[in-house]
Amino acid sequence: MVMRLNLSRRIFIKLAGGLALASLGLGALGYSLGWFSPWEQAVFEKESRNTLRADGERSLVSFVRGRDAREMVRAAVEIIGGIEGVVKPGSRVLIKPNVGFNRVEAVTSPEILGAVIELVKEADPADIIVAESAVRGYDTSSNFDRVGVREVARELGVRLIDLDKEDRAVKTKIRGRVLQEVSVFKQALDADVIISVPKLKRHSQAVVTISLKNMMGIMPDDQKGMFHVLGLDQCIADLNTAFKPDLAIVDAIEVMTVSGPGMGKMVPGNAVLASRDPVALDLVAAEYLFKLEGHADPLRAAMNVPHIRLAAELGVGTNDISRIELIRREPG
Amino acid sequence: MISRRSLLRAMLGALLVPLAGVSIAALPSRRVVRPPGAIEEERFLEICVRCGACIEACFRDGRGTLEPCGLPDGPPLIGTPKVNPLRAPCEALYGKCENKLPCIRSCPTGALKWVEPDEIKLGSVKWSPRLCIAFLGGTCLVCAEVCPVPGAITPEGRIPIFHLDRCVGCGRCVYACPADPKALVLVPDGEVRYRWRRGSSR
Repeated sequence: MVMRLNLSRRIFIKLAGGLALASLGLGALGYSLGWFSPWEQAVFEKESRNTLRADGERSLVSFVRGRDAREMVRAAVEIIGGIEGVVKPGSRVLIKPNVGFNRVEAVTSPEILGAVIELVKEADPADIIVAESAVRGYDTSSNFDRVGVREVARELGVRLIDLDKEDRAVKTKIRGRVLQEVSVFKQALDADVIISVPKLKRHSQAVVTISLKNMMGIMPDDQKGMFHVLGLDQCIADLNTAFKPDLAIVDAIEVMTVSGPGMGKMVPGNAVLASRDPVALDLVAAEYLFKLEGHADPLRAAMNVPHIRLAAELGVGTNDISRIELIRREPG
Repeated sequence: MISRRSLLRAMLGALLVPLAGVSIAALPSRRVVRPPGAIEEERFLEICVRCGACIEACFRDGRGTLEPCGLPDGPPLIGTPKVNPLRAPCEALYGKCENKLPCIRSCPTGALKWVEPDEIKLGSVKWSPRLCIAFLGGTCLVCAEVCPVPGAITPEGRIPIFHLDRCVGCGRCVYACPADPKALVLVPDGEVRYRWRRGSSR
């Protein structure tokens, strides 16, 4: 049975017009809700990685004092569950040291970096790269040469990448308070595991520079500059919602106190700290730095570091000391 | 036999050609920041043959800072090398060119002459507070952070203080300045006359 609709011309035109208007409205609604965006294709999506464990569990931070860099790194990582808990066999690992400057005292010591590389190798990853984009105005490759990082990488047979020469920055969507999009080098996006190996230093603008601030070295120079324009502390926290290190190992053998990050008063710290929670780690490390400076209340000073507090608010990690389990190991 | 016309032409030419040379040199030109080891400017313009060897040497190992002067710098300067810190800072001090100075080594005429590291001064930095993020209340001390010279840029609270007697003019701070437009420019030595003093408002 065929139903015949008897439509007059006028009714037909009205119906067609209504349909067109309705689809236009639906399209506009969809566009405003972000169902289809013309930029979607060019932009990579990066999920926020909130690895904070369920309530009740605590973030482990290890604090190991000693003399031998290799032993200290090994012990520090052992305490927080071993390298196997972070690096799965066959994964691609990016190790991000702090080689922002070309003076030995201002960068991650090659001994610590070498010890970390050796440790990661034991977990049998598919690929290890050591990558850095130095502070603007410093030539990353020449920094590698001058502070001895290139030598370590060559000895251990890992690829050392001067990101500034790579020119493969990609725009990535993130869910920060200030930043909705951040430009990072492709290597950081491709890596399965990011290991941040910062040096414990004072910083003229971010108060301290440890594992959260160290992640700025996966971005090209113009993006780093934007951070200062938009507000450095919030931007560091925002960046770490998507690109936080899966494991961070802090070189606190020689600590730069009072001023930094380029030049400061060097104080022997003789310690290595490690954690899978960068916020908890930075809090503990910052407390140690302020203690070395002779601060009256080092913990309070560390709690007041803006980017650590903001990162905690965004759920990158915890700065609640009741939820941080600090395990110390001192020699003898 | 020379005709009267050609004689006149030759006389005119003999008069005009040197005049043209003199007049180009007399055309207005800017002072630019020269590479390390550049001799005194007047002599430099006579001796430099605009071969571009120093510029090539500057770029041999990655990014370089030198570029040839163009028409905006003034006709007498065209083709001579200048430092442009927006490309990259000069690495002659505290950088990859330390004690190597490929620009000076490549100069065939001696317009760039070997200098000891502590004699290198390319120019100095000029600060515009009204463009400065820190001066306007933001969180920035990038210039002080990247400055490799002890005591050349010191933070006074949240604001950078420039000590021009220490500044060597490497241009790292200019390159790194995140303000747009930049709050810092590299200028030839002696061009900045103000001195920012503790507690002074000027």
